[in-house]
Amino acid sequence: MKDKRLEQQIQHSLNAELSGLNTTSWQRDQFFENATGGTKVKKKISVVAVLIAALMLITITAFALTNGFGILEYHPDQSANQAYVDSIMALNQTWDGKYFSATIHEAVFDGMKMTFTMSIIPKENADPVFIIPRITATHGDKELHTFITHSSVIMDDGFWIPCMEPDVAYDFDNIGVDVILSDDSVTFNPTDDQIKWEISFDVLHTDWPIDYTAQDEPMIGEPEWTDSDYENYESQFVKAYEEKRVLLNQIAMLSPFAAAVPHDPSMEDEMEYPDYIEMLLTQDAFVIEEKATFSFVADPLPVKHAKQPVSFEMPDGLLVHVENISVSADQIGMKLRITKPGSDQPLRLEDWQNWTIAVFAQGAETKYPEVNYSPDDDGSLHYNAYWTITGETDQLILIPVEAELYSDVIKNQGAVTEEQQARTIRIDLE
Amino acid sequence: MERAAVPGMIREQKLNQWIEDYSDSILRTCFLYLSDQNQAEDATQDTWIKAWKHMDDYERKSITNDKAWLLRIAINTCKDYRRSAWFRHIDRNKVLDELPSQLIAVEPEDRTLTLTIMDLPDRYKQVILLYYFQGLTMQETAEVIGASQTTVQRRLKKAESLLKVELTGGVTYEG
Repeated sequence: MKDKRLEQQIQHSLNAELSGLNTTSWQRDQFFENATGGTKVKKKISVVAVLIAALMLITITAFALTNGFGILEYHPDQSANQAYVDSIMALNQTWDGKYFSATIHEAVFDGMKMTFTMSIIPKENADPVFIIPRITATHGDKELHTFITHSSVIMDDGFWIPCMEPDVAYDFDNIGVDVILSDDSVTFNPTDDQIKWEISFDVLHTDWPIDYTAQDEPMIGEPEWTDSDYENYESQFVKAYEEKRVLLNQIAMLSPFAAAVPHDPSMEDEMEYPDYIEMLLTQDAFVIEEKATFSFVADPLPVKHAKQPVSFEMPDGLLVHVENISVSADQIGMKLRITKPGSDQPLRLEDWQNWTIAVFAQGAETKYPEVNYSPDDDGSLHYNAYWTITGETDQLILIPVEAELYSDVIKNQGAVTEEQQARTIRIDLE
Repeated sequence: MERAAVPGMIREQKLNQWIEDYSDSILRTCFLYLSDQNQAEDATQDTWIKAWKHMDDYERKSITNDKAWLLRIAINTCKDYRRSAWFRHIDRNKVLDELPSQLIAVEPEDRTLTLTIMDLPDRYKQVILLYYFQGLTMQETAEVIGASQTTVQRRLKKAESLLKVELTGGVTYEG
């Protein structure tokens, strides 16, 4: 029997709290257009509008036929960002293998992040294969560390072609992937330097039957699960391996199987996400049958940095050291170190709750950031954040704001009180 | 029982109607799942793209509750987003503050309950959002998350007790 009182309380609280979170009529039109590839039929449409719409459709279709799924379809926010748009490269490289064919359509490298779009077409009646993406960037003789930060289909820890997840169909026709250079000490000379990118996909095939576990995955740390639950869960993967069956979890992930099969314990020490695949390859369940490789050379767009070191004090006394600012044509990357002068106690996340920093770019729109906080061994707090921007900028504007006023400042795209105005810090970029 | 194929225009009308009827509901559910307005909007868009692509499935299967079918797509989409999120420490209080201004009064206990639900482990949050927030039945909730009714029952019981523990001193549900 449903607890009606609880239901009412939950519905009341969530609907009150989220009452401002609604879709607009424009958004709903966009949802429809993006889903169907068409436009809603309005009650009254002028002949001119129909002609314009028809011309637009012809243009879009021609573009799609030329390049397939493009960067600006993956990142439509950047459509008006001229420097970004101008540096998009049409690649149209196709690889054709036993199990699928793949085409890389376009790529763009902003000096910090490389984005590419692609499509994958499985071969009819071909066995499912597990694909491991490997992306390398080379600057001169030096290989740079890369990290997939976002993709439109799950890609960073491997994926199945065709999709093996029950009741889910990934859109392999329209794949977009963002990859960053994870070493922020790397700098390029945009006029001379070129970066060689290689995107490859190891194609793993198994002759073993593939099965799914019916058991929910225990979540470590949840009180209802015990170590023995987890051991039981793991043991089914070990058993499957012994019986020469590949066992997937309920969302078709291979990692529990890979982690459970026998491997050299020394690999555990070095195991980093997603190196469980390396463990898998030491066993006999899978073999790499093919490798799809694409490569291209990109001229990086200029990346700007702060002209001089910046430190400032927050109104609550915390000291902020700006350790790194990198600003490309489409993103701001910022690393801050936060300390508490005169205190021998390590900073905790709770110490950074009352105040925060709003960041804007002069002359370009700033989107909400991806933020990560982490405490350091020296007692300081690290704050790493990335903002998407939709145009070039020469100056960043930082405003220390009270947490409760943050949303007002963001909506206003600037200070809302005189105190905030007085606290504003401008960082010139070069 | 198989349904007759739905002509393209009727499909478009159906999708259009769903978008009008359920976009806000799906956006809010995705937000509570992802704690990120931008990602929730993207997930809502992806839900409609997937719904359109799976119209064949919808027609083939005898779907009796459109909303439950759409929420299933939305929840699966959110799961994908969660798995592909790169790094994320979220101050949910701030995330709520950054939302557009509320249209109705919010009491402190509303914020407490919202934060508590957002902080629940995913498996419990799912069932609370579907069963209590979206008003699905036990069976529909089970179908959406792809689990048995017994599992849903167990998770609900656990989720309710977690909520009540967290909310002691705040909202009390016991009659």
